[in-house]
Order: sequence, then structure tokens, then C-alpha cells
Amino acid sequence: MNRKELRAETLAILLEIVPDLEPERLDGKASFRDQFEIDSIDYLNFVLTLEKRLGVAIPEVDYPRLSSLEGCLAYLESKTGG
Amino acid sequence: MNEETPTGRNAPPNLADYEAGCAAFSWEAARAGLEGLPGGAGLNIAHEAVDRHAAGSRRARVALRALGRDGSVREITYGALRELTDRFANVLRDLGVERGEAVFSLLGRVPELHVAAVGAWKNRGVFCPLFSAFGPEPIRTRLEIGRARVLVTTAALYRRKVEPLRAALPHLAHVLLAGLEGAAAPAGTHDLDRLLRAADARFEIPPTDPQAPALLHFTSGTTGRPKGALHVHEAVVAHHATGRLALDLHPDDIYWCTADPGWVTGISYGVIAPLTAGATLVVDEGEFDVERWYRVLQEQGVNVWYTAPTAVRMMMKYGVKVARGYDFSALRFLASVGEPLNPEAVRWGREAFGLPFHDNWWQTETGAIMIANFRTMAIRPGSMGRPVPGIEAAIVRRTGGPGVEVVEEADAIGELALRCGWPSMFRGYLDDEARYRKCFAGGWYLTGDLVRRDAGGYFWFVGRADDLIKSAGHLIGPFEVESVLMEHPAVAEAGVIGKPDPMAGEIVKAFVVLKPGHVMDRELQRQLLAHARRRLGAVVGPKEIEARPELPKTRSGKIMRRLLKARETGQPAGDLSTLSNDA
Repeated sequence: MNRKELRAETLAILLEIVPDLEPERLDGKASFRDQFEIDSIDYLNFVLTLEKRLGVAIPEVDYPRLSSLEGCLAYLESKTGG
Repeated sequence: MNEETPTGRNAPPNLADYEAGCAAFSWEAARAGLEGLPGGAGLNIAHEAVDRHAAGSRRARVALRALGRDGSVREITYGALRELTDRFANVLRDLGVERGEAVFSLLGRVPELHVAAVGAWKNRGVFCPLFSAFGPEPIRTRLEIGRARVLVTTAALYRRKVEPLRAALPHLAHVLLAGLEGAAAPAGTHDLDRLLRAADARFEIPPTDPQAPALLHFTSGTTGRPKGALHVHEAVVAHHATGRLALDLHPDDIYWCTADPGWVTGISYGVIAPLTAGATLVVDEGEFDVERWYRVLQEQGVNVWYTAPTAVRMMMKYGVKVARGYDFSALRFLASVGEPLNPEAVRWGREAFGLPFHDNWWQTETGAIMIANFRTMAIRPGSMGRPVPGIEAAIVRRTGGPGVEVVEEADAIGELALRCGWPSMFRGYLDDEARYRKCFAGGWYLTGDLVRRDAGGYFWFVGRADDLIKSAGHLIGPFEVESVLMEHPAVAEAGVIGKPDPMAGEIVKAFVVLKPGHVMDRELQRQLLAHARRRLGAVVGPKEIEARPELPKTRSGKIMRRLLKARETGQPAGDLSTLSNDA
């Protein structure tokens, strides 16, 4: 998966869990929590869904690296070799 | 104090022997342990929490150590906190805010919360915290029911959640914005820092009746609007006593309560109890993040830590190995509240921190911890523990008449009841005397929680007697969620339950019947979830929505949420007869 595809898939998953999100207003560098309402259960669901859909293992210690869109993409790229 | 008295990890327990401690305890003696306003002018939480320390040898001790999201650390001594809260009380007085009027907060874990609460009590106002993750709808309802006169919040929260409702809130006269840092205050608001700087630095607390209202906490109901539970200044006697006995708080402690200030724990034990003890409070603005939390415990040298089961379960998921990398040698006591703590979590504390988690139980209505696992008592993992000294707890069955039947036999399931008369018992639901009276029978407060008591006197939580949902420690009323779903044009009926979840305890799940012409496809599902989250916020909004051709109802047409829940969890419907009182 290239970065564009990763981005589309990540956003799609995020939108399933946080359907009130407005993707066009998302700042890729800022943390999700500073931009919209996402509680710890949402966050956990987000990471678990990423794992399942992209077929990557994400150890718990890495969760904080997925707290922004850019962070997610960089991390997933390194994992999928994309 | 004797200089040789060990402190920190080695401080001796406040309750050395449970049985002896209960026998020796009286609320009169607990009250005598506080100072009271000078000249016998009554009892005011603000004096006990701040002023009496600021006037004495603890003046220079750090009261609040605020850890900002940006990594900043801000320390406020008891002396400085006295001045700040005096200034806040003067701000209120200058704005014409009168005795008994409600001061609300919509803030995260920041010191402005402590300043607003204590300052409001000095002005003899009623302080009411709101949860900052609430959406506009729960905020509007609570500001309206509580007749909020003043709201303290931030510019970002104000713009997102309050400004659009402002016209519908005629009682709300003043909005004070914290943390503007020189930016212009939006129209219709004040810059809190500027007002504080301009206000007089001294305020004398007027005589305060211990029975005067001081706190308003909203709690969810199964039907109708949220209930505003009122507490009085005298509650501070219970906050202080339970802080000492159930949390083992000592004056020299570094203490960290992770609860959100929008809920009762965040005020009773995030503000009042530790300040009355004279402790140093770690006030951490950041969200849950396992490694950062471990760093806070280590770097701040936390002695007493009060947290919640969902957080503990998240930490468990990370494993003991991560915890091993940190130094927790300052920790003396770990406590948890909000929902039953699994036995594995109690034990996991020992592995990760060298100490077990102590579960305790209480409610918004009880104002303070009622049942607890104490430091010196053997823990029965999974149990709520035993009643705190001064509290009589029983298992009862409602008879339908004016009294209740007290069940004495061990392990029988019934409703947990508490003998009326402790100082932090709520004194009413705002504007709802009938609902308040329904909570009492035969001199007992009926908690609505089903429990059992084992032969050793330990209480065990069994479930709610009603349909309230416990999600990640938050008590959520299904009615509020159903009402918002019904506003959507595609929804004809809605029934909302708590679905068991390994991490959150329960998550909010909604069942809906769609209006003719609508089909539940992915787009509608997304729309409904988005609608509910926008109106209710992330914590209250449902995580799952499922369409059903019809919902089970009683003959009178009430949706049977318990049946929905039984089907969802695969519980046999026959079990419902004991739970359901509306079948």
C-alpha cells in the first residue's frame, strides 16, 4: 500500500469510529484528541481496526505513535514496508 | 508534628485496625477534627480546604502541581491558592453574584477548576462541574436545570459547545474564560485572568451555615431529565474523614486523582478531600497515556493514587514489562472507583507496582466513599470492601410499603441501603422533591445497586437495579441518549442499553426502529452515530447502533431495556423476573 492508499484507508476507519469528524478540517500533524472528540474506547477501537484491516501487529507501547494522522501514516508505512 | 514520624511510602496507616476504628468513630469527633470558620461562624468547605492551611505552617507547601499538556509545570502553594480563591470570590461579588447562586465549570484538569470551586464556596455559591467531553445537548440541559449564573470555561470549549446555545440560557449572566493569555475575549465573555488581577486580593468568608448548599452534581436518570443532586458545606466532614480512612491520605503526601473534574470523584477526591488533608495534588491535564502516567508516578513521587478500572485494564493490556521500567518506590496506596474492579486487576497492581489496587464504592448521591477496601484490611479481590467507619450499610428488599425488609443472611442478593444521617448525604434533587423522597424508606437511603454481603462482611457488586449504563466509570442515562436519537428524522423508536465490554465495563448500544421508507445501510448508520455524538459527545453517544423491526415493550408501552440487554448478552429471558419491576 502506498501512502495515498494508507491515508484513504486510515481516514475511512477513523470515520467509521468518529463519524462526526470532518476530514477536510483535519490537521495531519496535530493530535486527534486536540481536534475532535475521541475517547479512550474509540481510540482503542481505531487501533484494533487498523490492525485487522491492514494485517499489521501494533504493540500497545506503540499506541501513542498513532495519535495523529501523520504519525499513523509514518508508523503504518514502516510496518507495511510501503 | 513529630519530625520522626515516617512519611511517604512508610507513613503509618490512618486506620490501623478496622474493627477498633469503627468502634471509636463518630461524626461529631470527625467534625471536631476540622477548624470551622473563625469565631464560630459556621462551616465552609473553602476554609477547611485552603484558608486554614494558608494561615498556618503549611502556607508555603505546594497545594497544586499542575502538569500542562505542553509539558509545563505550574506550582501553587496553599498561600497562593488562598489569594487566588479570595480574588475569584471578589470577582463573583463584583459581578453581583449572590449567595446560593450557581457557578458552573466546563474545564479539564487545570488549576482554574480548583480556584473556581473554592472561590465559589467562599462567596457561598453553589459549585457545579460539567464534563468537558459532553456535547452541547447535555451541557444545555444541565446549565438550564441548574440555573447557571456563572460559567467558567475555556475559549475553545465556549466556541464549540456553549456559544450556539447562549440565547437559550437566560440565567447565564457571566461567562469567564480561563487561559486566554492576552487574546481578546469573544463577545459576551470575560477574560478570567484579567478579572482576577483587577480584583481585591483579600476576601473574608461570611458566616456559613453548615447546611447551606455548596455543590451540585448531575447524575443520570433512567427516565426524564438528569437529576441535580445537592450537597451542603457539612459534606466536607465526610470528604476529610474518608480521605484519611479510605484513601489513607496524610498531610505530607503527594496525591494524584486521575478522575475528570466533571464527575463527583473529580471534586470530592480531586479537590476537597486532598486539600483538607493539606496534601500536594498532582493535577494532570493530559489524557490517558500509559507511559506518560508511569512517568508522572515516578517523577512526581506520587504516594497515593486514585484511579479507575478502565485505566487499570488499559495498563494491564500493556503488560507488566512496561511498568518494570519505572521507579514506583514512593507509592504507598492505590485505589480505584467507578465500577467493580476485576480480581485480576487487583492482583495485577501487586505485580506492576508492588501494591494491590483497593476498590471502593460510592455514588454521586452519597457524596463520599461509603464502602472500601482499606490499607490494613485483607482484600478480597473483586469485592467493594466494607463500610467506612460511621456508615451503616445493609442489604434490603423493597416491600412496596413505607419500610423495607432487611436481609441478614450471608450471600443473599438485595439492594444496597445506607442508614441516613452521614454528613455528605445529598439533600435533594433540584426541583424534584418527589424523586428525592422515592430514594428513601424506613430511615434508609436506597442506592439502586444490587449487591450481596459475604459471611465476612464484605460487599460484592451484582448489578444496577435500574437501566443505568456504566461506561468507563461514567454513569449514563439511556433516556438522554434515546431522546437524541429520536430527534433524527429516520428514527421512530429507540432503546439504549449497556453492552458488556472487556475494557469499558459497558459500552452504550442503541437499538432503533426506523420510520417507514428508511433502510439501515452504512450511510444511515454513520449518520445516526454522527448525529448522536455531535449532540451528546463521544462518551455519552452510542458506540453501536442496530436496527430492529420492533422493540419489546410493556403493556403500558414502555420499552423493556432489560429484555433488549438480556437478548444482547444471551442471558435467558427467565432470569428477568427477578430484575424487572415493570414486566
